[in-house]
Amino acid sequence: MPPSPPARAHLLPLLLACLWASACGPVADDDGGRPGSEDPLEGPFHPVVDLRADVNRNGIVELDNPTEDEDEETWTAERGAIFLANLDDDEDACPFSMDPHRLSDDALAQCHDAMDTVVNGESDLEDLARLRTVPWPEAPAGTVGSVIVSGAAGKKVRLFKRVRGNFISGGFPDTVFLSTAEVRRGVVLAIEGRDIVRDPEEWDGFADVVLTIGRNNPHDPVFTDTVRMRVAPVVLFHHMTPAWNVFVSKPAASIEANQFRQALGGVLADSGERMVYSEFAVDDLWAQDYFEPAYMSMPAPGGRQHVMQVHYRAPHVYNTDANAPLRAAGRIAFWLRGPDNAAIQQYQQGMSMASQTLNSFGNTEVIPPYEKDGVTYPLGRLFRGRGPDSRPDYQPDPSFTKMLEAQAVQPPIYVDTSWLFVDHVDETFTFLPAPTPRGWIALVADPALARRMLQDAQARGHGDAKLFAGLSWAYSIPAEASIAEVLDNPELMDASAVAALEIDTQLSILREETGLTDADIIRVPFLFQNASDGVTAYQPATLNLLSLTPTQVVAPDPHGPLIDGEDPFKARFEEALGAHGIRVHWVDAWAPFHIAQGEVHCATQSARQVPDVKWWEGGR
Amino acid sequence: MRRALLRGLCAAWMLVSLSAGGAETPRPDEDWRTGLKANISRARRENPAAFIRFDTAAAQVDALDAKKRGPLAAVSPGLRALGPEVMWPMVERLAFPPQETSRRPSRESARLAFQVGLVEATGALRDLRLAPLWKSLLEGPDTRPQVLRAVAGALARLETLDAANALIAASKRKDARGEAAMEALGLCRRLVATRALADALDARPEREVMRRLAKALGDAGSAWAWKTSGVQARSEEGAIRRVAAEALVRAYLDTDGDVRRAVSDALLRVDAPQTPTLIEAARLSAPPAQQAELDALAERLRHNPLR
Repeated sequence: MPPSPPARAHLLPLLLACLWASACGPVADDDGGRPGSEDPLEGPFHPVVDLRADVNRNGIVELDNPTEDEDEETWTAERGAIFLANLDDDEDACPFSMDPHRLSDDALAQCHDAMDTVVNGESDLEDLARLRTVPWPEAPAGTVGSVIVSGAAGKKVRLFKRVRGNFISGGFPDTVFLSTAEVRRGVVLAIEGRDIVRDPEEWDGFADVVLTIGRNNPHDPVFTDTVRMRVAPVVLFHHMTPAWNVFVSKPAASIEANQFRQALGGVLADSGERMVYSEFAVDDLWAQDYFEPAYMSMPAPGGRQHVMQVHYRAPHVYNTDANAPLRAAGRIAFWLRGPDNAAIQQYQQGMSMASQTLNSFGNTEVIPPYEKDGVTYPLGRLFRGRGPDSRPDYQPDPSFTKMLEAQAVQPPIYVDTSWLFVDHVDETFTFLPAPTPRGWIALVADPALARRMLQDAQARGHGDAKLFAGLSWAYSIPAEASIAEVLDNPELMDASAVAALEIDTQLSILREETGLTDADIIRVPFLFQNASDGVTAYQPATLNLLSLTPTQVVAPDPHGPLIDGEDPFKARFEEALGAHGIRVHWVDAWAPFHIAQGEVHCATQSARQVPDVKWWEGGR
Repeated sequence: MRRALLRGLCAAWMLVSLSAGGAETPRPDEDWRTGLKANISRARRENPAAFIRFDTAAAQVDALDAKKRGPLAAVSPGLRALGPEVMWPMVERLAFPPQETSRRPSRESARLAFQVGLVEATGALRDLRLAPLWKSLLEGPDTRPQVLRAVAGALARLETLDAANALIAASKRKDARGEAAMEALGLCRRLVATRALADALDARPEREVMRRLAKALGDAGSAWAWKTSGVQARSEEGAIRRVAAEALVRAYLDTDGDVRRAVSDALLRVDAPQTPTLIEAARLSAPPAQQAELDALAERLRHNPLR
């Protein structure tokens, strides 16, 4: 492109001096030429100042394609170059321990490929986005240049320059110097993010990379070309794509949890899908809560995405131990760190202990993609629970919330979950793919429906039929209760009334935000009971399920009453999902999970296939 | 005259206690702890297996705590399932806790869950003989909000005038005890308690207090709860639900955001027959902008998901 109007770059004289002194980093080009060996500058100065990045997002940086150059200083849904935060560990070099006294929580998070100044192998090189300078063969002697990342981004990225086939970073992470020979020949650069966006007030994720060319004279004009790049956001998975890796905890001393794992393994084997089954040797049962799989991506050749898996550690601040303030099992996120697998930790001290449950990932779900009023959400939207406005100390971790929202591509919808004992959105909602105009359905808890079903059964003479036959809440004491007893229990009825109204409010927010209609909603009946501070599912919440594929789910057996040889809660659920071509695999989650306020979704976690839709095309 | 009044009150108290508490009701002048000890000793003699079952259950609380998903392990469902016969072992643990060195569970979080679970499970039995215990614990040294909330709830579930008055008195305090007592007033489904909540809401306290008061009024007037046989003061149902609805409708226009939502939810939960009339009356005297807000409330009431 033609050189931009001359601009005075205050830094340039310093950089040029630095360049000549060869003190600021490697300056040798591929031939090892030294700028000091050139002739003095003569003649007019009409430089080619052209920095190229993958602005057209075809996975290649092209010097001969003018579309690479158009509007390169802006970043839109249609155009703009992208780079990854290089937070994986391609050489498996990062230390790991589950013991915080060997490796503190904070130390654990500090290791990744972007922490050092070198490229960590060929795989690591693939995680770096490329830039190139267009050669200016006629550059007169004395011409020098620099590539600098301006503004706040300068502290969040690292530039590399290819020298003799190797990518090398200089003394300033945000700066690369170009000798005359390099200006003439053009250079290949690479850029990595040293972090994701965590606080937009600190850094908004954009990086303006500026090529400056001038003569080594502070009184001469300099010429610049700027390319705007953006670090990839972290995207959470929705249920529209199949799971490829299912995670569960493997506690040492829980017979019931081990039986569940075996049952789940059998379901996975029977599903007919190729799926990885990962078990973590931790005593914390709630794999859904302590970490969350996600991904980052940037354009790759052939219209593909170059993907880096990400694992968020949940920001549960449980302890005052300086080495280990966070929930221990969350360290699994860092155990998963490795080649093309990043781990991210973000937390803030000072919120109430009671509020920490809001930080579970069972309380951060993803509403599948949709369009409403002309606004599209191609990657869906986060769906999160929070406390009421009048309880500022009872909210999800503000720093983590800021980070999630800063990713920008899945704008969150919040509902109040503080009325629940566990406070998680996955207790009352889930979303499944379906062959409907919308493409998905919402499963919504409906305690009023459960009450009506039981009343109906009682009216038909089944008041003595028992729920939870053969089960116990704990201590081997029978949990079974007749329909009549359940309906005459004021605590159960009132807890269910509370839940019904709160869910109604949650649903009204969801309808308002997404345009959900009754046709998009499946009502899932179960009653609620009081716990010490809030309500929790009395009957197993069948909607708290694991979505394996668009046509298969694993759900907790509701253990409802047998009426005419059939559990009406089970039958209704199978029928409702079956109408959308979804098969239900039932597993028994009562003893390991239900009596501890969780179900199948709570006890599992899944990494899913990356959607074909590209985040950069979403307009956010 | 004062002495006569006192005798009358004592007689009334004894009448209430005898009618609901069974043969072991303590006399007013008896040290309630002595009475509890006697009952515990008798229970241990007559049903030692209940104490063993309770000890076995207590030994498993650490395991429950390790499995918890929420902030606290839910211990009470299991303890409740042990049945009324383990009430005295549970009372013993609450009223006469063992020495620090010997007690289980071992973890602090498990101990808290156990304490809360004991109170909830014992409170669910609604035994009038335990009223002094609940009052004592409400005034006692344990200031943990979860325990206070459970204790206040246990006292409230007795649904006696005595319990209501004790909670009303405690609710005046500006501390965690006052907060717990205020929230529990709604579970004490008596007219005097509901009136106290209505008065507190009419005073328009700060937002969070208003939100909690609205929820408590919803507890008091809960239509679904009143449809069960488990609520005792049947003769007060109509008045309780009407007083709750009146207070909530009065408060509605003075609220917004989460507080208004709590008020609206409570109105739907109470679902008093007078509510449409109350809304219409408020509408007639409201400026146009607020009339629309009341229309929205009336519309939500017409589609009450609890019907």
